[in-house]
This record gives sequence, structure tokens and C-alpha cells, in this order.
Amino acid sequence: MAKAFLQTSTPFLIAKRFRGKINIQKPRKPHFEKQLLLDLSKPFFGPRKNTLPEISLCEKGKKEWAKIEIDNPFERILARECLEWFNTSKMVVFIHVNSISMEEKTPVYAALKKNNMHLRTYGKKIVKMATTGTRYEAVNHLFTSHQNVIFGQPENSAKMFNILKKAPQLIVMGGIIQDKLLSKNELVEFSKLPNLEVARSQLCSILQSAGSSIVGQLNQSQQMLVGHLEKHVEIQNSSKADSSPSQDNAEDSPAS
Amino acid sequence: MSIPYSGTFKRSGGVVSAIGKQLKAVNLKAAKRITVKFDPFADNVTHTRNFLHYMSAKKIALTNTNCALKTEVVCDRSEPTIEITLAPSIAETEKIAKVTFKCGNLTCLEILQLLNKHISSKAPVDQIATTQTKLEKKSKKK
Repeated sequence: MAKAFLQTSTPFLIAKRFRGKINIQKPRKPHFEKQLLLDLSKPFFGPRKNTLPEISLCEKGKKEWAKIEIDNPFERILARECLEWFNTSKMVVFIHVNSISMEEKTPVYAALKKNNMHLRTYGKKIVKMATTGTRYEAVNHLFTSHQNVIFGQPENSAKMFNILKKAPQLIVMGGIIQDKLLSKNELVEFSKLPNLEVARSQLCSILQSAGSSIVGQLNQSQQMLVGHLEKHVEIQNSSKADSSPSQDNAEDSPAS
Repeated sequence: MSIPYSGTFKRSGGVVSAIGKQLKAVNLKAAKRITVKFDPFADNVTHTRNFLHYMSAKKIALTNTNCALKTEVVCDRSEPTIEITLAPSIAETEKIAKVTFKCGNLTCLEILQLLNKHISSKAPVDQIATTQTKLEKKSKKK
């Protein structure tokens, strides 16, 4: 019967009941940890509601689970990395991403990487953190749906368009080339422009063309005269040649 | 003395579930070509771009393999529009060649609802070809 009940360790039991005199005036100081618990769990009753002004009692304007902005150091690191990419690459292209599997996206990523271009994904919040206050602030406007960014150099823009043709789910929206924001059509035009050296040589030839045309016009009459004289000489030579073989034939035949 | 329950028995799952429900109901059999035109720098393009993202999914493309989804990016600050050219057989019966959605003030859910109302409803029903087995034919003859 005794084993059915919980065994209490009797030495720790001190009979306080039926004692006669109980101590209230000088209570024993509790143990440190007991005192800690008592202090922590002390109930707090704020000011009475009838003493408060009515405006603090209104509950209409409060948002229950308001989002508290927590400073995330990893986000700051990512934002710094994003800004570095923006600063170091002379060509930045923003593309809208339709539903595409990684299976189809990886060859595009690899092809771009081979041509020294980097396809990267950054979220809206990170890009906002990275670009607010810098000169890239206008770019925020594009980051509303699903998008990726390609960082590269302007020489590879034609190759980039060729690579992106194979992935129709990646749609070019616009880009930044040498600190200038361009729309999609302007980007396409830029990619079709020739190499910088070729453009320079074309410019040189245009500048020279004015002077060379004057020189040509001045020399025109003299060259015509020279041409006519040459033709005249040719005609005379040919006529002499016609007449002299007939004389030679005539000399030869009596000899033979 | 209890009042009978009034109101909804099931609670709504939110906008995302509503969009998912509409996407499951999308049937592009009546459409020949879908052209989505938007200006990325305009203000009201979020919902159109989201719609484009959802429509480019493989499941929806499978409903009609002949339907092409084309995107045009413009830079004239014009309103985003979605133009759907109907298949010639449907166009003849309905006397409508094209359906245009002007999505400047529409949300993604509304665009999908309108799409289902105008395009998915016009999709021709697939007729299941029933083949009779030899036994059935014999039993019929008897």
C-alpha cells in the first residue's frame, strides 16, 4: 500500500502546522535564486485605464504584427557586392525572366561566362539597398517582377544578343552602357555598331574626303589631257607596228 | 435559442490561391498567338510582367502547342497590352478575330479571370474517339 504512494523524504519535512506561533514579522531571507525568481515574476500593474487620456486607449490605428526592420549584415554584404558589380562593369543589361528551368538556363549562363559576361540574380530589396543614393537609382524601377542582370563589357554586346536568342524566356528590357541608360532598341542598335577602330577609321576617311575631293577636281583636267596623250601615243605605236611588219615582210621575201 | 450560422464555411486562401485556381482553369486551345507588349520603365507594369511569367509556364503551353507567346518591349511609356489572336476556326464561329486586354489598371488576378472568361470558355471540347471491340460488335449483332 505504501509503495503506491509517492515516497517523500521525511528528513526535509518540518512540521509548521499546528505549531501555535507562526513567524510573519521577521520572514527568513530567501535563497538568492529564489529571490531572483520572485523578482522576475513580480506582477506589473500599469496605470489604471480611467487615469489615462482617451487617445491612448484607442486601438483602431494600431497594426498588430507590424514588420520590424531588422538590420541584416548579410544583406548589407550582398548590397555592397551588387554595387561593386555595377561599378566595375561598363555594360549592365537587365533582363525579364519568364518561367525557365535551370536545365535550360545553365547553357546560357555557361555561354555568357565563356565570353566574360556574368548572369546574376539579385532581389528587389538588395538592389534597392545597393542603388539608393547612387547614380544607379533609376534601375530600381525595373525590379518589380522576376529579373536577372548581366554584367559585362560593351565589346561583347553583339555576342550577348546571339546567346540570348537561344533562350526566348530571357527578355532584354534595357541596359546601362558606359554610365548611360539605354532602352532595348538603343541597345540593339549599339550592338550592331562596328568596332571602335573601324568607326575611327571611317571618321578619318570622312574628314579626309573634303580635301581629297578638292585635290581630285583640281587635277581632273590635267589627268584628262595626260590620258588623251597616252591614247594618242598608243594609236601611233600600233599604226607604226602595222606598217613596219609589212616592210619587213617585203625585205625578207626577196632575201629568201 | 441559437442563430443558424451565416457566412462562409470555408475561408479564402488569399490572392495567391485565387491566381493558382485561375491558372489551372486556363485553356489556350482557342488562341493562335499571344502578344504581350509592355514598357519596363512605365509605372503599372508589375501585374503584366507577373502574368507573362505565369503564362510562360510549360503546363499552360501544353494546353495548346500551336499557340505562340510573344513579348514586345517598347520604350514609349505606353500602357501595357495583351493581344490574343484567336484560331481561325474559332474566329469564324465567334466573329471575333482578336481580343485585346489593356492592363494599365488591371491586377494579375483580374487579367487571368478575364482571360478565362473570354478565351478559355471558347476552347473547343475534345471529342474522345470511342472504338468498339470485336466482342461488343458480336454481342450487338446477336
